[in-house]
Amino acid sequence: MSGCDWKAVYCEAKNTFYLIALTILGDRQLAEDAVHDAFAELIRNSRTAKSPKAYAYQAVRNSALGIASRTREISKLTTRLHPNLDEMVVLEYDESKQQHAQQLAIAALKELSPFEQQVITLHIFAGLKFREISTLLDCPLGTLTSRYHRSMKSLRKTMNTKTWENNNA
Amino acid sequence: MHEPEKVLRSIPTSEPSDQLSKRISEIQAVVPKDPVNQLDIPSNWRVVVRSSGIAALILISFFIGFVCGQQKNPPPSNSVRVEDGLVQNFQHKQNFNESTDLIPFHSPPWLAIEPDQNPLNEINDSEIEPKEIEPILSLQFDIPK
Repeated sequence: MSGCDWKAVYCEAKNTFYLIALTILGDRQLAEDAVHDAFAELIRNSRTAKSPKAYAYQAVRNSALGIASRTREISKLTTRLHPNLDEMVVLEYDESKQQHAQQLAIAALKELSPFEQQVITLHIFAGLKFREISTLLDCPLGTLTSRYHRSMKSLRKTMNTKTWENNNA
Repeated sequence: MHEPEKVLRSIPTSEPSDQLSKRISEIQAVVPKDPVNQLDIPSNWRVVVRSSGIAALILISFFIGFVCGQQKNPPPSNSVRVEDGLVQNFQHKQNFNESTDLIPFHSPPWLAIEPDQNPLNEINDSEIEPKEIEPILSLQFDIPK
């Protein structure tokens, strides 16, 4: 594919690109800058790819990592890899049961390790497939899926425990 | 009992601003189109040219190698197949002629000398007869009877 229509690729999955960058950077403005830089480079150099979407995921990820390395110290690497969930989700705090469950889920998600949070946010919020996430994070597919299912079990357990505590309080 | 995956999927996520879409559209508009696309050349023309170039290089190198190999090891002029050699050898034995067939069949062509040009023919047989050689040392042994 020569000179892909990168604008169309962006419009097709702009939320995913944005959330990938947001997962790495944890800041909305920086995430937008990362997406902008990645697509500017793709368009200006008329990059070609067999799978433009997957290529763009990787470009956005590299751009986000580049910005992160420039803006933060290396000692804060672990912090950088921790997705900023408050920036990623839009929760309207009201008294409905659904909203309460969502708040519980986010609270439980924050207790997981940074890697597990990344996998869950990329799979559920960004809508990436496990194969795409394994490419993005340089992690074997089997390890990734097992970690995902283990963290889902942990989430369920934490949510049930917190619900039981709230009911008995 | 909570299903965390369903609950998480129901949570709305933040979206990029419209400003980002505008910025990307502006870049797309500013950057000129690929000249390859403007000329309506097939998109995989680079691959075609590259692969045909590589194939041509391989063919040329094979040809050069073949020619150099021929010059270094020229085939013998009297080289014949095994079957032909057997037949010719058989015919050679049947039609043996001392004057012409002094040179063996398989000898190389530069050794094929005409009989009248052969320097060995000019030598008389008397000259090559062995002379009686006097014993340099005579030893006598007394053999006891």
